Amino acid sequence: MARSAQPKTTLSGTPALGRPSQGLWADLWHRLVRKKRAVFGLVVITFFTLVAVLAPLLAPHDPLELGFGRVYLPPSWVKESATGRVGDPQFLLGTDTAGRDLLSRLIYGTRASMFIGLSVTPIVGVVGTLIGLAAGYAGGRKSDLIMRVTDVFYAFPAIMFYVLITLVLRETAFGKWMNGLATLLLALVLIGWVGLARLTRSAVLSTKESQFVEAARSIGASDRRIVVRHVLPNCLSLIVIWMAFAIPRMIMVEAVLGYLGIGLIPVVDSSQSFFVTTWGGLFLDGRIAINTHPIMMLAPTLCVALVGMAFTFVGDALRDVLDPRMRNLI
Amino acid sequence: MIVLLVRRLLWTIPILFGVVVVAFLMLHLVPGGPWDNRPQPTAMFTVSADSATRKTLERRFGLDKPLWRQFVRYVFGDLDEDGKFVCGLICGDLGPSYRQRGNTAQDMLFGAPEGKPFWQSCFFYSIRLALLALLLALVVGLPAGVIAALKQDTWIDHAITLVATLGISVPNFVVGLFLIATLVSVGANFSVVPRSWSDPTVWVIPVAVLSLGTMAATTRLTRASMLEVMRADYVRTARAKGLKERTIVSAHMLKNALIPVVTLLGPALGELVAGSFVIEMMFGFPGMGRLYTDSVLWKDYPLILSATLLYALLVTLVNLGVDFTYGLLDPRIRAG
Repeated sequence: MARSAQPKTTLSGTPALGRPSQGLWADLWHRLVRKKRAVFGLVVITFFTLVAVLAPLLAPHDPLELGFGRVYLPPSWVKESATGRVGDPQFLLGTDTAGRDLLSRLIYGTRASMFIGLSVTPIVGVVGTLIGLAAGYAGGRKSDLIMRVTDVFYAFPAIMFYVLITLVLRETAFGKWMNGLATLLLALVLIGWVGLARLTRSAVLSTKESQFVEAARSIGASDRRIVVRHVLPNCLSLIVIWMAFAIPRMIMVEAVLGYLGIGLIPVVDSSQSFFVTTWGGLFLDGRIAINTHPIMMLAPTLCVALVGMAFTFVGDALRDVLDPRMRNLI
Repeated sequence: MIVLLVRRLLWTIPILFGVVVVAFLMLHLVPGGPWDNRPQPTAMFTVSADSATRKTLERRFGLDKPLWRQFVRYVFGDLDEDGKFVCGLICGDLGPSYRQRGNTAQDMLFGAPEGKPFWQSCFFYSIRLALLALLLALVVGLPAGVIAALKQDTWIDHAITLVATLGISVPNFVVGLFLIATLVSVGANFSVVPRSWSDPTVWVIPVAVLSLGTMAATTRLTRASMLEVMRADYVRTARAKGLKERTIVSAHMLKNALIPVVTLLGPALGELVAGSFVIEMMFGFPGMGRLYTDSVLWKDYPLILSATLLYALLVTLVNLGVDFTYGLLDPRIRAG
C-alpha cells in the first residue's frame, strides 16, 4: 500500500511540487496510475467495457442460434468430456443446454451486466447524493423525516423487493421494455440510494460545522451557494469512492437475482437481441449441468470475479488517493 | 442517553408501519389472488378453487373488501363474519395463512414440529444459520485482518488481501455450487440436502458458504482499521515507553481498531439473513427462505407481510443496537 512510504518533506523532492500544478482530476489520474493494482483494475474494466460495446463484432456465433446436434459440447481444448463428447475448435468454450455457443453468450452477457453496473450506479449516485445533502443540510425535523423514510427502505428486505417489483411489472409494457432489464434497473435504483444517502448525510453533518462554511455564511452566502460550492465538493470524494464500490455490487446483485430467475426475460427471438442474457442468466443456465459441464458456471464466475476485483482495486486506490480517512467508512 | 434510546425505540414503530404499507401495497399490485387457478411453477402441488369456493374464501378472509379496509383489518383488526371484533397486527396477531390450511402465520414462522423445542421453527432455523455464519465470519475475518495488517506488504498480507477481495467479488452461492460439485466428484460422504438438521456436522457447509462474503468484508475492514491505528500517536508513545509489542497490539491497537468493525455487524446480519434465501434453497434448509419464496408465489399475504415485518424488525433493532454499542465503545462519538 502507498501509505507505507512516508511522504518526503523536501520541497523539490515531493512529487506534487516537482511538476507543474494540475487540476484535481489530472492529479488524481496521475496518482492513480502509479498504483499497480489500480492500473490492473482499469485495464480489466476497459477490456470488459469494450467487449460489452463491441459484442456483435466479437461474438463468433449468434448467441441465440440453437444447435441440437451439438448440445453440451465441452471447451475446444478438451479431448473427451465426461459425456464422451469432443471439443470443437469452432466453439471455443463449448455449447450449452440448447447447443448455443457459450462464448458468444458470455460476450452478450457481459454487455447486459456491464450496462447494469455502469448505468445504475450514476443514477443511484445522483439520487443518493441529493437526498443525503437535503437531509444533512436541512437539519432538525425535516432531516429526521427524510432519515426515517430512508430507514424504511433500509429495513425492507431487498430480495423481496426485487421479487415483488418484478412480479408487479412483469405483465406491463415497462416490464417488457429491454427484455425486463428496465424493471431490474428500477429495482436496483430504488434500493440502492439508501446507503449513499446515509453516508452523504453524515459527511454533510460534519462539513456543515466546519469553519469555512461558517465563514461563507458570515459573509452572507446563500444556502444554495454554500451547499453547491462548499459542502458538496467536500463530500464529492466520498461519493466517487462509494460509486466505485457500488458498481461491482450492482453486478453481483444482478448475478444473484439472475440465478434466482428474476431479471432478464429469457430471449429466444433474435429480433430483440440487444440484451440477450446476463451473467446471472448464465449462472441459471449452468446450474443444472454443474457436474458434467462446469465450464458453463466457471466462465461467468470468472467474469464476475474479475470485474468485481477490478472495481474493488480501483475503489481501494481511489480511497487511498482521495481520502485516506475514509478507510473505516466504506 | 436513555431518552435517546427510548426515542429511537419509539421511532421503530413508524418505520415498521412504513414497511408494512410499502409491502402491502406492492403485494396487492401484483396481479392475481391467492386462490387463482394459474399453475405455480415452484409449488409442490397446486390447489385451485372453483369460483364459488373462491368467493367464500375471499369473504372469509376479507379480500372482497376495498384495499384500505383490508389494510385496516390486517394492522388494527376488523369485525369478522359473526360480527365479533378480531384484533390485528397491533395485538401481535400476524393473521391466518391462506394457503397452509388451518395454520396462522405465527404457526408457520414460530411453530416447531410437534414435540420439538421452539428453536426448531422456521424463524429460529434461519436466525441460527445467520448467527452462526456471522460468528464464523468474525472468528476467521478478525484474525485474518489483524495478521494482514501486522505483516503489511509481505506475501502473507498480499495473499490475505487477494483472497478477501475475491471473497467480496464472487457471489457466495457460486462458491457453494463449486464446493458441492467438488465434494460430490471426489466421493466425499456427504449429501447436499441432509435428512436431518439435528446433526451439527451438516451445518458446516451451509454456514461456511453463507459466511464467505461477510468474512471477506470483515477481513478488509479490520485490516484497514488496524493500519490506521498502527500509525496513531498513542501507539508510538506506547512503543517509546518500551512496552512489549504484545501489549501494544492487544491493549492499544486491537481495542481501537475493532470499534469501526462493530458498525459492520448491523448491515452484515441483515445481509446474512437476506442472503440466506439462496443458500437455504440450495441446501433444502428448513428456514424462512423457502417459506418466503413460496408464499410470494402463492400470494399468501399475511405470511409474506409477517416475514417481511420480522426481517425489518430484526434489521432495525440490530442497527439500533450497533449505534448504541458504538457510542459506548467510543466516548468521542457519544460526546458528538
